[in-house]
Amino acid sequence: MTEKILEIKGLTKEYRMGQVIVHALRGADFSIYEGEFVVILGPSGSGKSTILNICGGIDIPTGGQVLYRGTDISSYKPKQLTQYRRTAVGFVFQFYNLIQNLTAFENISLSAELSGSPIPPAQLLEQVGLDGRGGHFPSQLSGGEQQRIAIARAIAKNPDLLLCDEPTGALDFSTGVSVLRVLRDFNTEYKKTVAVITHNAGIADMADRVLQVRDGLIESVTVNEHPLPPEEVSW
Amino acid sequence: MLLLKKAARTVWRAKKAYIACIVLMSIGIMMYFSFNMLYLNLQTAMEQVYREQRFGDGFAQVVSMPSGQVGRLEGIPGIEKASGTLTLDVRAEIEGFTRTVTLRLVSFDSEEEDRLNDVFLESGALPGPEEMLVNSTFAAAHGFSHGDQLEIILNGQRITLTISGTGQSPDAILVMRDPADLVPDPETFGIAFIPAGQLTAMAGRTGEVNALSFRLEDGVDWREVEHPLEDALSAHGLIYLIPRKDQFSHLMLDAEITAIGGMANSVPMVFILMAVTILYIMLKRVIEQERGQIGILKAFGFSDRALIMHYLGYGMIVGFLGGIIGIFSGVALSGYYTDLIVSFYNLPSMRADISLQYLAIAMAIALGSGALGSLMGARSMLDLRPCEAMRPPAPPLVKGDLLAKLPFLRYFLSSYGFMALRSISRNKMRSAFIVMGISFSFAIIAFMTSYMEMFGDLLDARFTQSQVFDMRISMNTPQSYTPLMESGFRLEGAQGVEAILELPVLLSHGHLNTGALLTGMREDGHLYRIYDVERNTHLRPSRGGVILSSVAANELNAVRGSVLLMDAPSAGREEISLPVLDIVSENFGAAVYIELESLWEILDVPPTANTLLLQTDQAMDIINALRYNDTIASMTEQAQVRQHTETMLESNGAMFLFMQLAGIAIAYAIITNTASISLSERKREYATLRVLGMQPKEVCEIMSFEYWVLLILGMIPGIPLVYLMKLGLNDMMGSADMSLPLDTSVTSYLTAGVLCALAVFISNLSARRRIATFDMVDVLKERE
Repeated sequence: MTEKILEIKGLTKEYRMGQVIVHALRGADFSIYEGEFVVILGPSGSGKSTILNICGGIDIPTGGQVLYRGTDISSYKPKQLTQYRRTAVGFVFQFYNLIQNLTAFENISLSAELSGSPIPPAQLLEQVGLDGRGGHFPSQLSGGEQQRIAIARAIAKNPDLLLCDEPTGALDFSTGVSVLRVLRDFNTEYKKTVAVITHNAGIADMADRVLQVRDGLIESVTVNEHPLPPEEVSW
Repeated sequence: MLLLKKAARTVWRAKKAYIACIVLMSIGIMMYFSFNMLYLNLQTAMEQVYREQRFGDGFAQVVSMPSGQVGRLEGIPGIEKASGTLTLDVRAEIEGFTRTVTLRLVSFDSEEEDRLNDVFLESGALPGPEEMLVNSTFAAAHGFSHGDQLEIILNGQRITLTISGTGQSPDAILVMRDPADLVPDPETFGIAFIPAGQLTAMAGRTGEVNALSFRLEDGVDWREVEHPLEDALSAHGLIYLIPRKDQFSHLMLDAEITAIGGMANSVPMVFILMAVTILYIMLKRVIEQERGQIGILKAFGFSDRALIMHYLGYGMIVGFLGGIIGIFSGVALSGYYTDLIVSFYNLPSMRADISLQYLAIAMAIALGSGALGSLMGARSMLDLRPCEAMRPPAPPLVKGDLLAKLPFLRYFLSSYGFMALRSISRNKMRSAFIVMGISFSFAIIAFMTSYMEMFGDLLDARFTQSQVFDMRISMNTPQSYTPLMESGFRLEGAQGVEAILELPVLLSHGHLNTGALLTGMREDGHLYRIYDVERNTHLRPSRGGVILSSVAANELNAVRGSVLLMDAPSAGREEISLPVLDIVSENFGAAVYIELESLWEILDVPPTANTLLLQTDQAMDIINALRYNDTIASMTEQAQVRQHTETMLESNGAMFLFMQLAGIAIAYAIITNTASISLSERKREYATLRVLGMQPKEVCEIMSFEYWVLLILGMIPGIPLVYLMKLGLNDMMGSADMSLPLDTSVTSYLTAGVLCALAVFISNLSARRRIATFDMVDVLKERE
């Protein structure tokens, strides 16, 4: 087994929504390993996005530990969390969240500027198949193109871990597949860890491991001995 | 009702932005209401005094004229009525008051019907034997009440007169001894009204008058009677003959009213315009944010009219509160200004009356502006169909790229810079508004700072560069030059003595003419020097021509080399040709300077002078020694004149400070409101940057950069705007023989720049706090 990049122990998260306390996570335990492609699968409201947010350092847990390479980030101060996000993780969102006032190329460059060892933006642009579209603004790109730029932007920092929240959720099937191909390529070419959160069980077929989330707990962990290439998954 | 609740809650949630908008609206309304009330009350008071006390259409000063001949002037075609008085400047003794006091004694005949420039009895009783009325500001300055006595020195005799009351005449609404004085000084100069028979007898000039005024028949122009009057009065030693528009008190009052009227309808509109624009931007944002809600309400069956009325309510709240606060504070401000005006002008009928008409107009402007701002912002809602409103808006079209047009910027800017510049170029309307707001704010602050500095400069120019003597002694009549100088040197404590000859003259250049004060001075004199405020240099009078002040040059359209015609009626000389050797830049008064010996030659008079200038540190001893010298008209100690002038000018300081604060309020309201809206629009973008690993400080730098760029863009047009504001003010003040400097010091620009930058800095700090507390999870899970 390769080294654990993230180790989650007894993770809990409670939200207050008006007068009601919502228990989003009730003591989740799991690990993510170096270089794997992991899918965190679960229905809406199961707590999977909360897991991703806490793992990515954009939310803090109520209880438990989040060990990144053995260091507990759950007690990090905001400034330390920012540094963690800057160096360790890359995010891909369902709705892309590209900077509207920057071109595709500039969006990727922006992220590269934050890193000490970035991947060249031009190279990434070519890898995601948009080398002729670098000068376009987000509003001039299709949804699939925007998501590929968002992935390139996340990768440009050369992070250890790529966290993707429903990356195909807003896309049609064929566009979704092309986005998954980009994620898989990043995983294999750069030997980086990719964690994809989805409610789409079809995507689980391309994962090395699948973590099933239900009611704020990890219900099961399945190792996929023969992950399918993205082009062969279906939903 | 429910929609009203919704509006109230929305406003409450964004209360800081609405409060800023209300503050600007109320400042605008306060200024509009107070300035207009002041304008109306001042105009009304002036017209009332002029009408009821029959202010003359023209005025003349002669050496002496038999009172019995005044009526003959009514025989000149166009002259309906002529009145004459005896006017004498004498010194007065006031117990416990060390400065020399000059009283202008003015005769009046209470029995004369239809008398021009009639005396109005403000308080007390008409004077009987050995009694007089004094003007109210003089009485107030010394705390005089009816029955108090003071001693005057007339023809070498000490005469005690009792104050029977206070009075006022329309030709002395502004009571100043000398038009060259910067401000009135009621402690050292007053008007005393004495029954004609009594004054002429006291002065030994029974049956004489020396000041005349005329009322013209309806439709007659002054120019039609000017020459016949000159002819008729020349035999009596005509000193000056002027129409009403040039009468000093009227000139100053009219300029004041014009300036207030001009301000009333310009300055407030800047603030109201800013409030309307902020409201427009805020409502536009509210409509964008409530797009989905609008769709739902429309789907429920709410009509466009009901919804537009709802959003109109947002602006009406601002208009209503801004209007009410503005009107209440306007009443207070108008009271303050009225007190200030009354301390300068003798206008007993001047009251801080509230004009219901202006109150209604002010409220209508406030409500109308509020409605306009919200209507402009909310009108896009009318085009939204319910189904369309419930969908997210289509992404905006990209129209050109600033960096594609200006590719060199790529070499200077980081990605942050790109974002900031593109944000500016893509929000053109908003950016233009911010630039406009900063320009106004910068210009107002620089303008006001500059004027506060200017008064200091004016005092410096007068008291340290030009009139550097310690004491001035004005004689009743011109004296032989050498004996006068010798008497000056004999005074104990006199370290330096110079004598000058000052005469009122009439200057003509082509068809233009103006009254001016001619000063004959020695070429090597050092106590009174001709100082050019623009060139910051001293000019020397020389033979063969005159040096003309810039104010007079403007009125005569004269330049260096022009040839003027000068009438000096008090010296009995007319139409003397004089070339202009140089123009000296001065700020107040029409003046002309000439070398003293040259003046004697052209007037064909023996060496004479009428003013003695002393350098001394014992001014008070000299004043005491000369207290009863009947050849002296007045004695003034320069240090006290300066101190009084500074005190009077400081009373304007509060207004300048208020205007500066108002300028800062514009900058702060605009920058914080637009920054807040920008932050709300772009919070998703900023949250993304935070997720990418940027610290709040780094994210804030993007917005800061944008606002620093806008600040610079706003300050650039602010510089010519200051110049235009000064030109406008000079235009308003021009009729009062004033020419204020148009240049603005670097310090003023720096002050304005720093204060505007402070507004940006504070806004950035607040933005940084908000960026640091963004809930990234909440922001990013929203659909774009």
